[in-house]
Amino acid sequence: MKSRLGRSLVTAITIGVGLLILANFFVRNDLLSLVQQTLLDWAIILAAIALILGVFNVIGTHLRKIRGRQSGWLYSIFLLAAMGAVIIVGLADPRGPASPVVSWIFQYVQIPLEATIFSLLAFFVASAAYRAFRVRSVDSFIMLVVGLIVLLGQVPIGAAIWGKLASAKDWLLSYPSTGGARGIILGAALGAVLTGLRVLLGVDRPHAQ
Amino acid sequence: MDSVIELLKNSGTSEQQALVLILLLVMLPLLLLFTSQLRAGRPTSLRPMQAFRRLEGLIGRGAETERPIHISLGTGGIIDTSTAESLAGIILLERVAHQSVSSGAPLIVTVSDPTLLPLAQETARHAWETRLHRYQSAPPEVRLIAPDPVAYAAGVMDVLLGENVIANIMVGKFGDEYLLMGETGVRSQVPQIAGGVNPQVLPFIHATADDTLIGEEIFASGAYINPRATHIASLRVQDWMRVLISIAILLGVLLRSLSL
Repeated sequence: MKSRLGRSLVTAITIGVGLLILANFFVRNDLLSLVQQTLLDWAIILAAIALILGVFNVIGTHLRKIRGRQSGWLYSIFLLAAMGAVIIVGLADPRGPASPVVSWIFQYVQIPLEATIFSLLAFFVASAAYRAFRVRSVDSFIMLVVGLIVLLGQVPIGAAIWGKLASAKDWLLSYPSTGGARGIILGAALGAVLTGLRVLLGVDRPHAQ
Repeated sequence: MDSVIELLKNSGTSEQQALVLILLLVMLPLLLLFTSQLRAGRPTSLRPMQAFRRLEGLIGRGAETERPIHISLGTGGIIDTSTAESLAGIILLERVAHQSVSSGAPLIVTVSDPTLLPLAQETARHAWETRLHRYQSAPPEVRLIAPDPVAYAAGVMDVLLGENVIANIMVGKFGDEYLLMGETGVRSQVPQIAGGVNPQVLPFIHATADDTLIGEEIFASGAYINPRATHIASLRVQDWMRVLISIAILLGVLLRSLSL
């Protein structure tokens, strides 16, 4: 009973806050703006607390992996050691994330590592394109033809094959492609508005479970 | 059209405000009307969606083999512009978690944004607590991988390659890093269901997933898995709005063409 009351209270607060933010979108009022700014400040503080919870979640996940000697548990030791080292260095220096050591780690360890992983995308794009362009149906045939026109339309050899290939490419990108993308965005926007409405009406209550 | 815009400007209302107001004034009554009709027992039919049908089969296979199903909620959070996509993932998680708890299929849920972590954990825990017949001794596991999209993708690749997952479900906000995860799933021969709204990522999703949820379809899980009247009503409102927007676009083109 108590938890039901608690859930109702949380739902009421959510609906109230949602309506306040919505009202501030339509009506220019200093008090409403102040309330909205305060709520946004609170949201930032809560996000910071969520990050701390996230650190504990990462530690828990990898400790379990190490204890259970699960696949890749040695990497987990390395991850926890690296995380601990960066946190200690960051906390030891009053400049925090702006400390030269933390900046060095980001610039010379994290960024190159991310670039390395991201560079895999080139190979992954090639194999995904190969699969997508295999002619298995009418859809994939159309996709193959359109893909070829767009590819050849961007390179000089395309113009040598057929003079109007570049114009065909521009037409495909400007009309069917843009139209399709806008249709998807419009549909997604409607879905997003309805999700918001359901939360505002208290039908979807992921926050009050 | 110009005179309408002029009228709005004179009344101190921006185009954006007017648009949102019109959307709310049309969509809210329609949502309430369709919900009440469905609750009164009015029959409705939904077009079959292969992704949701396959999802139920995958949960069954997870229960039989006791191999985990991986659910990725993407790189979005709940205090930015990706909130709706993240909530779509949470609604899907809620439905899958209920079925997983009652069937015994293990779940591994991964998130990238720390703000989504407590929500996903609560959703999984609630599903576990409210099921009378549960085959698991603890709620489904929710993991924060990393707030950075590339680091998140690397972590998910490790899950897909190293944790013997039986299926990979990815619904939420994704950028180019999606392909790192999707392609790893293909190479591990894991059945994949993926959905997103970013048009730049949809070709990657199409190329790697066995079943896709394109655009607004990611918001439809509530109407297909353990359906609720409000979620089915939402789909009907979406359909109606699409028709209304199409008519408005056609009228706009006509008016512009006739210089009215």
